[in-house]
Amino acid sequence: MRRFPLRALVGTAGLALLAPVPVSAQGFTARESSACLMSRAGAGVANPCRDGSAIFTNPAGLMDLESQVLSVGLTLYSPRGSFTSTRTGLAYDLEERAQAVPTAFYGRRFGRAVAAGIGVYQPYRVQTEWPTDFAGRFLEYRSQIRNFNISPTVAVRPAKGVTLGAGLNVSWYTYQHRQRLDLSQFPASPAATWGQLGVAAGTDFADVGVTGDEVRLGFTVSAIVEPVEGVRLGGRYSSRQSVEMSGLGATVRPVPTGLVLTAGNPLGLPGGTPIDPLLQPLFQPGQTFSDQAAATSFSIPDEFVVGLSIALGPRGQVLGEWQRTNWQQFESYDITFERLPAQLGTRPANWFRQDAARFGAEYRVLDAVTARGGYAYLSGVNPDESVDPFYPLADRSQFSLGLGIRASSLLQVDLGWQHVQQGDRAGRVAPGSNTGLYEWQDNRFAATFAFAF
Amino acid sequence: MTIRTLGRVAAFALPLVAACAQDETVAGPNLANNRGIFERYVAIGTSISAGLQSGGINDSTQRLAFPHFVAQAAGAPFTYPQLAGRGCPAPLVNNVTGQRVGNQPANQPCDLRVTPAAPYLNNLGVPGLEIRDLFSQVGSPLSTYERLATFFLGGRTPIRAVMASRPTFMTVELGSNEVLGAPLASNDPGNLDSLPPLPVVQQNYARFLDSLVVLGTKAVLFTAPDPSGIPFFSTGTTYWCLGTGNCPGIPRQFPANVTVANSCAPGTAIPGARGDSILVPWTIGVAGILRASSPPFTPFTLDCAVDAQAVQPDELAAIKAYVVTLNAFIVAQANARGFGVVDANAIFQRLRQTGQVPPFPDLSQVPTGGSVGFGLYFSLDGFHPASPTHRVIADSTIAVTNRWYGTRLPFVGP
Repeated sequence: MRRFPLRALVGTAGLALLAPVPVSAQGFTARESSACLMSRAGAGVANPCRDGSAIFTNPAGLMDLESQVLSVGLTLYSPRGSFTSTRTGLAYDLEERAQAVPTAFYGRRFGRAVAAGIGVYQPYRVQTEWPTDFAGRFLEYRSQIRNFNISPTVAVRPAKGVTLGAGLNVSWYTYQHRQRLDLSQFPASPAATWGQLGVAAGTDFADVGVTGDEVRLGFTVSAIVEPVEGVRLGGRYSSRQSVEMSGLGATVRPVPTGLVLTAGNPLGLPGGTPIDPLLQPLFQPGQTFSDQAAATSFSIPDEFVVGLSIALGPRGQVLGEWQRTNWQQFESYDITFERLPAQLGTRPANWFRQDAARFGAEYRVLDAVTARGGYAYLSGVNPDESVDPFYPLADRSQFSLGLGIRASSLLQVDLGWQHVQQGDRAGRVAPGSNTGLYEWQDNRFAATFAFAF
Repeated sequence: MTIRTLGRVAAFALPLVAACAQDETVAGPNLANNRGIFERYVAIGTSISAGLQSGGINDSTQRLAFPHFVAQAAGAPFTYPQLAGRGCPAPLVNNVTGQRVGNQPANQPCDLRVTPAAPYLNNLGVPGLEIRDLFSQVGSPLSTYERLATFFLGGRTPIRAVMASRPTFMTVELGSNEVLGAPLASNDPGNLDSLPPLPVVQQNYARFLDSLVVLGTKAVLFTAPDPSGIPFFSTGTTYWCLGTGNCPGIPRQFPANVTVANSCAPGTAIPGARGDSILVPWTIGVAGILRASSPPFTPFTLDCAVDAQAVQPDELAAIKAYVVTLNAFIVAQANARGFGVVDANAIFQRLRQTGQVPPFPDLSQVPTGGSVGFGLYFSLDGFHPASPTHRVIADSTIAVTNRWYGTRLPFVGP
C-alpha cells in the first residue's frame, strides 16, 4: 500500500520534469550531474551517488556499484537575473526561460577489483541571454559556452580500502555569441564618426552572431581511501582543456536605424536623407559588415577536489569537500574577426581561481526513502574589471534538498531541488567603469531514474 | 533523533552561511532622492533648454542651461550632447564684428560632438525645435539651426529620443520657436506666415503629453514667451525718442545721418502714429545706426510703416493673441494631466518691467570695438537668455516642482 503512492508521485514528477521545455535559454555553470548529487549540493567526491554519476564526481566510486547501473536524468534550470544601472535606475532582466539539461550514465562492476562506465553529461555550461534592448548588448547579449562530455571511465581496487579511477573526457564544445554594433562608434566619413555627427551612443545598426564547435580531450584521475570503516577520503583531478576555435562563422545582419539626416549635415547630403541606405553597401559581400570568419580561444581550467564522508550508522552519512578550480587560466575570451574591427572582439577576463566548500548529508528515513540536503559556498571568479554580461559571477550560496525513492528492486528515483543565491555584484555593460549591479539567482530541479540490474 | 539534530543544525546554520554571499554596491547618485522623481530627469525644449547663447552653443554654454541647474539642485545625474571644441557654431564674442569663440571661421561652423558620447542623454533640448516637429526628423520649415537637430538627436525624432530615455521627470520647454519665428523673420519682421497653424501645434503638443502619461512621467511645462519681453526688440517709440530728442528728458542720441520717421512716434505725440505697438529688431534698427556711425557712414532711415523694418501693430497683435491662445492651451493640457506649469512669459516680463532688461540695446562699448549689449540677462544675440536668466528660470522651475510634486529642491540663486 505504501509503495503505490510513491510510484504515483515518482511517475507524476518524472513526467512533469520530462515534459518539453524551451531549449534556448540562459543559465550559468551547471555542475550537478544527477539529482542525488544536486541534493547534496554537489558533495560526493569521497562517496559518490550510486547512480553512475561517479563517472563525473569520482570515477573510483564506480567500484561501489553492486553490479550494473543505467541512469538517465534531467535537470531544469530557471535562473533569474538582472542588471540595474546605478546611473539611470533602469533595470534589465535576463530572458526568463527554463533550460533542460539531460544526463546519462552507465556503470558496471567486473568482479571485485575492476569497474567501468561511460557517461554523457555537461560539466560546464555558461550561458546568458539578455533582451536585445539590454544596455550591455554591444558587448554581448547572448552567449553560450558548453561542453558535452563523453567519458569512458575505469576503476580498480588495488588493495582493500583503496580504489583508483581514471577517465577520458571527450569534450564537444559548442560556442555561441551575439552582440550588437553601435553606429556611433563607426566612421561616417574619413574625418568623423557617426557619434561625432550626433548619432546617439547605443544606436544599433548591425547584429553579429558567432557560432562554432570544437572537440578536445582531457582526463580525470581519482582515488578513494577508506582508512576505517565508515570513513572515506576521496580526491579527484580533472585536467585543463585549451579550446582553440579557429573556424567559427560570423554572420552580420543590418539592424534598421530609422535615422534621417537633417539639412545642413556635415556630410553635405540633402535634409531628409535616411541613413540606412548609406550603410547598406557596407554589408555587401567582402565588405566590413558582411559574413566572415572568426576565431576564439579560451581555457577550461583544471580542478582539484578532496573530500571526506562519515557514515551515520547504516542509514546515513555526512559529506564535506573542498574544491579548487583554476579559473585564473581563463584569461580572455577574445574573438578575432576577419574584417570587423579588432576592438569589437576584445574580451579580457583575468579571472581568479575559485574555491568551493560543499557539505551534504543523507539519511534513509524509510526503507525506500532517503532524505538529502546540502549547502555549498563558491567564491566568485571575476575581478571587478571583468564583471560583464557574459558571466557576472559573485560569491554564491547553494541550498539543496532532495529525496531518493526506491520505487522497485530495479528502479531508484532521485529528485532534487537547489536554490542558488549570489550576492549583488557591481559590474559593467560597456568598457570603462562599473555602472550597475548584477543580480542573479536560480532554482534548479532535477530528476534521475537509475536502473540497477 | 539524528534527523532532528541535523534539522536543528541546518536551521541555525543556513541563515548564517547565507549571509556569506555579500552584496556589493556601486557609487552613484542618490536616485531615490526626492522620492525618485529625478531618477531620470530629461529636458526637452528649444535652444533655451539646450543652452544656446550669443548665437552659438558649446560645452560651456551647455553647462549653463537651466536644466543643468535644476538637475544640480535635485542631485540628479545629467548628461547632454556635449559639443567639442569651440562649438556648433561657437558663440559670438562680438556681435558687431561677428567674431566667435576661438575665432571659429564662418565656413567651419561646427567642431562636432565629443566622443565617446554619454550612453544616456538627459538634455534633449534642440535649438530650433518646434512642437510640430516632435514626431519628425526634419524641421518644417528648415530652421536656422536645423543641422543641430542631427548633432543633438542623431537623426531620431524627438519623441523617439524621449521614449528611449524613459524619463521619470521632464521639463517641457516648447513654444518659443512658434511665437518668435514670426517677429524674428529677417526679411519681414512679423510675417504671420511664420506662425505655424495652431491646430497642428495643439494636436502634436497633446499627443506628446499623452506619450508622457503613458510613460508615467511627471512633468513641468513652460508657456511661450511674449516676444515684446526680449531685448531683441525695442518699440518704435523708443527709437523715435532717441532719434528725435522730442521726448521729455531724452536728448537725441543718434548720429545726424540717422532719421527716425514719425511713423515710429507714440500716438500721444503724433496723432495716428502707433510706435508703442511696433517692434523694431535690433538687427535692423541698431545695425542701421551702426552703419551710419562708421565709414562709409551710410545714412539710415527707420520708417516704422515699412513692413520690412518692423513688426507692425496688427502683426504684433496677432502674435500676442497667438501667444495667449497657445499658453492657455498649454495650461489646460497641464491641468488635464496633472503637470505643473512655469509661466515663462512672466519671467521675461518681470525682468523687463524691473529694468533688468534694457528698453534699448547698450551701444556704449561699440566705439571701442565692443559689442552691442542687452544687459546682464540676455546674451549677445539679444534673444537667448544669458546665464543669470537661466538661473532665474531654474528657480522658477524648482518653485513649481516643489509646489506641484512636494519635492524639496533648494533654489539655485543668482
